[in-house]
Amino acid sequence: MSAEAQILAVVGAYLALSLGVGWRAGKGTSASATGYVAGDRAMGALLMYFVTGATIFSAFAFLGAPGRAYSTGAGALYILAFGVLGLVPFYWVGPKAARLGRSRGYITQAELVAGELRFRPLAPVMAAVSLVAFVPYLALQMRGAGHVLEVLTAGKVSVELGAALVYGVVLLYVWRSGVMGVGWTNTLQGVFMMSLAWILGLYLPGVMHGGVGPMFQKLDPEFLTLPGRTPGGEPWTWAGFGSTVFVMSVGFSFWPHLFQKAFAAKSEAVLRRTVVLYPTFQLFLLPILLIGFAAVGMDPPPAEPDQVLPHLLLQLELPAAVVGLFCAGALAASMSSGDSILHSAASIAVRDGWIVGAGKPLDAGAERTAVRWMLIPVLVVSYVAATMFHKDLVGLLTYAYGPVGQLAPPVTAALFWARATGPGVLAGLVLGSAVTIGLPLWVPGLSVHPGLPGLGVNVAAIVAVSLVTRRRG
Amino acid sequence: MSAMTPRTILMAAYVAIAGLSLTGVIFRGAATAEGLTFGLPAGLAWVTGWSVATFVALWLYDATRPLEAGSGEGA
Repeated sequence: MSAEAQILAVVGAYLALSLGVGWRAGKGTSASATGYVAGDRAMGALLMYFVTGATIFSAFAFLGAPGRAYSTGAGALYILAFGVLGLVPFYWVGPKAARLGRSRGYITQAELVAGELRFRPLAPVMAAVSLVAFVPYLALQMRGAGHVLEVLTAGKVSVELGAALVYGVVLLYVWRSGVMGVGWTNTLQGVFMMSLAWILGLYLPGVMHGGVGPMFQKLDPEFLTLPGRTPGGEPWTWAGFGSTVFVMSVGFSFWPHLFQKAFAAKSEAVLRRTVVLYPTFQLFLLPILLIGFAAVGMDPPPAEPDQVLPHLLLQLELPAAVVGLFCAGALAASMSSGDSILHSAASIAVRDGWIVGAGKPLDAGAERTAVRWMLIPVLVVSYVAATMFHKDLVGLLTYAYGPVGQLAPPVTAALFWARATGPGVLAGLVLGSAVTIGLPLWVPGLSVHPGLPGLGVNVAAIVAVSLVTRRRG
Repeated sequence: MSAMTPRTILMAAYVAIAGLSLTGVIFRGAATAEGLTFGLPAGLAWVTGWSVATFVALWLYDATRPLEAGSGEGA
């Protein structure tokens, strides 16, 4: 058996295992939309921990983070920094959303905000902002999966074919089991990739440089000093570093697919415990960054920074089965986020776009069927984006955080500010998103993350318009 | 609006200091010091340290949470 065949056999076994776990996971949940989208509000602590952790740590972490460390040095530390406080708001926001979801039947973030402010037009607008952010995020996961298979098969499996194969498996188990398929596969994938990250993060510096400390001693101290470099190789500014950490921290808890898990949790105590434990998941990123630093100066260099990990594995001439295992770990990272985004995007399109936005109610069974069918167009659009975008993985995600960060003020205002009104929140969301998306086009070479001025405009608009309008009902 | 309790004030202060530090507004000297700390560059050790400290701070905050009537604890 050739090395490539062994690698593909291990990857195939991993995909079959994921499919098996995901396929069986839906047993026991009701046939309603609440069962399919929110797991009948019965997720326990173990599932919640891995769903939140593995959902966030994705191809971005497993492939993009080593690539960033390799190409930008200390600049990559923002990836670790924003997650430290990113989930902290969820300690207060999550339980309140869960309580309202339980009493009023909400299963999406936009439905919650529109319902609490009694302003239906908000739901489709929030859904649109979510989908604008989801498409590049899902495309990123697909490209990551495709990258891995392309490099490890020396181009015999293209990025496009690899992405299609992996996401065909994802489609099958999400179609069958909904959020419980996402939850149980995330648990499997989370354990798998955390183990591999630590093994690789210690093994590669050890075998290449004699250990982590000696590796850092060999590197240029300036390369290792904050705020590091940009992907283009220029020195990064503190304004750029700090604003990126800030915007990504603010947006973190409000990713709709992550937020939606508040409606799936068994209890408020489970949600709070998940937030408390969450910073420990950051320790999984530390070895991932070490992998990227280990590759600095290697000869030959990888074709692209995002290919550092598979490139290193091939250069070290490890046994093919071991390479296959690590390859499966990278696919686990991609799939654990991709499945959650796919499932969430489809449910948001149906619930917020059709049922709440257009005011077309569906019975529970019809809604579940509609969400299932919606998986396909979401996957196709993202796949097309994945084949067209050629930006680096981390760059794609950092861009996506801009629009997502704009969801934070509306949700916070709807839950915690009694004076907030629907028109106020809508104005903030629209203006903030427009500034975030438009500013890089109007002001090329902007030194701060565009989400920062977007947030300023967003909050100002919510306050100003809410003070001159009234909440309905 | 009810007054903030001391534990909430302490938590808010912790989040503010950690946030300002992680965005590079304060304590830049420690985050950019020369040499290695626990075998890691200062910036990496600094950010990792904040991860561990945040877990401890949240755990303490949660552990001292007073029982609230009708807090909506689910099944």
